Amino acid sequence: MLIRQLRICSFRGWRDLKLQPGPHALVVGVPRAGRSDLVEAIRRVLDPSSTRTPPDEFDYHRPTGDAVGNPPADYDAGDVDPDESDALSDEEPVVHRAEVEVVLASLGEALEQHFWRRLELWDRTEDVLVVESTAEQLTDDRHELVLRLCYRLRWNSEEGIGEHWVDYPKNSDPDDESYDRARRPDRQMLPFVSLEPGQPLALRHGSAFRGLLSAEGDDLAAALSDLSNAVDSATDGLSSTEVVRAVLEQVFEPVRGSLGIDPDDAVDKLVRFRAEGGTVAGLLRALQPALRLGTVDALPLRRHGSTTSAVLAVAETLVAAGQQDAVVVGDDFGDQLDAGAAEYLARRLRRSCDQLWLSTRRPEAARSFLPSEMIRLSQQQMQRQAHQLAEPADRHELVAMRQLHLQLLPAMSSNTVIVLEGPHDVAALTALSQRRINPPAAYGARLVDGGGHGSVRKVCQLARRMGFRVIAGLDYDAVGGGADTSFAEVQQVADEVVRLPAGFAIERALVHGVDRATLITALMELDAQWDLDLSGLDGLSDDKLRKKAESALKSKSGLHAQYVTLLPKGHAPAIALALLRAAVDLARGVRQGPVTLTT
Amino acid sequence: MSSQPPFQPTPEQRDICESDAPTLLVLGGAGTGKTVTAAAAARAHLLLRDGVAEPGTALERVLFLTFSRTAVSQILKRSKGILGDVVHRVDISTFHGLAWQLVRDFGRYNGHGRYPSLRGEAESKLFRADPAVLSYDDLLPEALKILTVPLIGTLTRRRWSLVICDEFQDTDDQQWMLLENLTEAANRLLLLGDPNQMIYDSFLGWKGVGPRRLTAAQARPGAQQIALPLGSHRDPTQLMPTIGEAARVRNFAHPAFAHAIRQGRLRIVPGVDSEPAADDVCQAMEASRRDGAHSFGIFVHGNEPTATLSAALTERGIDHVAVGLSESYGEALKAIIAMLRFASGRSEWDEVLVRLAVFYTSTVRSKQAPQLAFAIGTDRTQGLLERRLADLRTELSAATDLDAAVGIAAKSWTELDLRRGTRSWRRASAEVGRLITAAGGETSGLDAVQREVDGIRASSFTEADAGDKSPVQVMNLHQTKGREADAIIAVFRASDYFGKEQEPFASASRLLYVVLTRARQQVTLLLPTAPHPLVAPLALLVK
Repeated sequence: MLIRQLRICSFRGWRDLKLQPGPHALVVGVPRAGRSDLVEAIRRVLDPSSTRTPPDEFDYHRPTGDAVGNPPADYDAGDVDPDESDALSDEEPVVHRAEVEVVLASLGEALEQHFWRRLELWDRTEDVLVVESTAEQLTDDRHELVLRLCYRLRWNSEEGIGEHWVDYPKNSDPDDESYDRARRPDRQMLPFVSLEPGQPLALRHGSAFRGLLSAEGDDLAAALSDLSNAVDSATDGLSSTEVVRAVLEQVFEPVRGSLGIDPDDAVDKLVRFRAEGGTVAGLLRALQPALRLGTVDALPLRRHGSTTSAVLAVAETLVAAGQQDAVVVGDDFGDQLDAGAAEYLARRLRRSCDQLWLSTRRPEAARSFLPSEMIRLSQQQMQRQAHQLAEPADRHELVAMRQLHLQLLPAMSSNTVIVLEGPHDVAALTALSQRRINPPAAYGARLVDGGGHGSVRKVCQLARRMGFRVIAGLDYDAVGGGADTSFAEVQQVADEVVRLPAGFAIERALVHGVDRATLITALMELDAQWDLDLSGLDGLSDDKLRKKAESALKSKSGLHAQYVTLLPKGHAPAIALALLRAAVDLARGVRQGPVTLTT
Repeated sequence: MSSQPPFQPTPEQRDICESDAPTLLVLGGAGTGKTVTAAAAARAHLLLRDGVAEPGTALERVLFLTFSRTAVSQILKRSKGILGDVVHRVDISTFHGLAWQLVRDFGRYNGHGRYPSLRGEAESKLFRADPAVLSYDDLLPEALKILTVPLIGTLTRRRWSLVICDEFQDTDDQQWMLLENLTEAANRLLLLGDPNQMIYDSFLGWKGVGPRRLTAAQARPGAQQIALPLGSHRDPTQLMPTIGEAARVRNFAHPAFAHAIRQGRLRIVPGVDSEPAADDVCQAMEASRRDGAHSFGIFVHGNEPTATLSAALTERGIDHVAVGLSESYGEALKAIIAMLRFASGRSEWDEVLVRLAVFYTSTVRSKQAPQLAFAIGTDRTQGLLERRLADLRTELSAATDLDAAVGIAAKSWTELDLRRGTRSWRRASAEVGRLITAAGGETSGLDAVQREVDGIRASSFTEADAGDKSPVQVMNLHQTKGREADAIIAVFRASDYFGKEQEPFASASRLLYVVLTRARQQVTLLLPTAPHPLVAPLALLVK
């Protein structure tokens, strides 16, 4: 089973969202742009227990507002249909509405037969629901059977009460307030697994591990009953041991009368020790997993650190997902995992289920997904937005997209990217920015490698499509011809562009204006560390020294960052610094481009 | 039939349960237990398939198709205990009920829009044809088309791995085509029939009803046939099936007749010439009631005589349901809603008149709508009726709230004094009252009630109504199949027409067979002084 389309209307932070995910979905984006609300929205529809408890007043959408709380200019105050609001008299309270609708596809014959009367058709070419058609307009190849489910919330803000449910929109008519509500047993038929950070290996009812045990058949009930009996007889034995019996007798002696205990009765026959009320459920709540992982004794799971628990929780989900061709969702995936485990487990999860929806702030986890599977959330003009990349048209485009995608991954939770021409530019400016109090990160901006002169434009384009604010920082070494053309081209696809002065590449920008003595000291240190064979620097003319320095920076796969860190305080390279400053100012919107720096 | 005896199959019945023939014909007389055996076979089929199913595949299902809604409820009642835990995997429906369900669920993919609507017979008589609205006769052809819709059709044709058809000897060409379509995908077909009950061939032959159905079934690949021996669950003494069979072969000298008369199981009352024979029917009912009967089936030949007798029984205060007029219940609901909408200012008086005309038409059995219906619908009534309608209008306009309007609507039909359909009207007004109360009694809830009523009405068109549980049912001879009652009272009139047949009345005798085998306890035949040759030999039995 997989989600073909997700539509959110006035639910939590989302006013309006329509998504058609790829095979899987990776939800990334800037903070407070709605990652968790999106994952929660899916849960509301597909988790059969989502409507068991009453809704919350913060579940319906409220305007986000600007810094001082003013709603956006185009915000329509009514969650109520304007046609309907006329009909409402003064006494009738405003009812806020929220909706989350999913279109489920790849149901498989068993679910298709189960939901037979509720099935609808989906046009895979146009990616739309077929509302009405004739038989001649339909084909097996172009169309597919889908099931639509809608979570609906009604909140009466005056009375502070609400109602929510899941229904089949096919046979529901909101205009008439008539809904074909989905029963819980039917909702339970849908293979859905929610990845909860909770406690793995928990035996209590409702836990993921218990779910796996129950799926294995009837043996569980017998095993639990045996366990309960064994524990009872063991604790019964405890009461009758010499030491316990003696103390019990002493304790009960003065109160036998007031408790109405027959003087002939042995107290140890009256006292039993039980886990939490003596029920099996209570016993199971009391039992906690303990593991021997590099320890002599088995230690409680929590003593092994949060990473161990997190890894096991994902592993449980893996098993559950693999059993049922499920849709799996998880929020903030990888927060408690190390980078390697996050990437590996995301990959395994992706393979084990029909469709995986993960929200994450970890680029490593994101690496397991295709570029077209990424859904990046941004917040612009107080409005949440979701960005997706179109499916690549051919293999060529796919390869390019993957490459560019990887370069943007580390920046996915930033608002703005500063796309520089190559890794040396990034290394140099990163090193420079570490020397400053307000680096780009302080303004939600991130330096990104544009993959070389030829591909900067593509990366900018890709970044824009993913909803980033894009600042391009270019070299200007080949004056006339190529450099000028790309400057013009990049202006088309980036929000702002800044470039080095004419004749400057990054190396020159790092060397220009640095006084001779400082430069020689820094180069000598580089030579000492990297064995660059830089003898006779003192004898070189200024011009030759500069050229020598520039070529030294490019050796050993680039020593730009190391060079920058070797420059003493107060001797930062002015042009490189100007590039960084201009890029950050453009990112902040305090300066307007395009900018060509001058010496 | 409050308690259900456990199902103990005969050897033949066991063969049916164990068969895995792709097509299995089960032929048996009235009350030989075809239905319960089919239920047991359905269960056996499902359990067998479950045993070999791959994990994760869809649970298989069975479809049980029949002709009337009454038959559906009887099948349900009889088979529930036998089906046990697979009961929710057996869908029981009428042909038209299934077709209407397909049209409602998937008609949108065959050019019918999201909300296809269905017109009742009464409306079809009153209104001009409208291509956008389906009528009862359109349903099966539409269902057949839906089965060809890509994806939906394929899934539906795979849905039931066993399709059971009750009374299959009476299937017409379209129904048969539906059965064949539903079993194309290697699904099994179990046909229950009794060629001796083939009573529609004389007037439905043009639709394909007739002996050729049996031939077609036998010609299906791998078809097998099992005959159930005589033995009636309805009548364990076998006396009534025996005289039924004797009557069918015109052997009135069979000793069972004399025996049945002596036992009081068969009562023949000659010289009943009054029309309608309401008083004689009342006497016969009284006599059967004294003998312990609680439920009654009153059979008359022909639609108009049935309606006339029904009206006369109403006048005598005999509470009963006229079977086959189930549509009038749905139309009564609709007319009452129209009155409530008028009372609450949501519609015009014209709408009330039109709905009253439709309701009136639905209570009359005739090919065309009665003239009076046209007069009502177009506001051209005269005299007393015109005055009564005007009074009703004034009263409804003055209704203070919805409850008051429901009260006025409830008694309006008797006050108009059109002497038909009073029971339907009474039942409908009680139902509307209940729905209004459930919706909170507010005018704003009227829309919701109206939607619910539309649903009930549509199902009253496709599935002869089973909601009316009256112990007295009055019906046309041709509606008697699949029904049973403690006592049967059949009224024959001198003017009854049974076609051009002559002795031995091969076709009409089957009708006699059906009539005689419907009773659990007792059959009373009311015969005129000069009976039709079909039943004349019966009159001789009491001389």
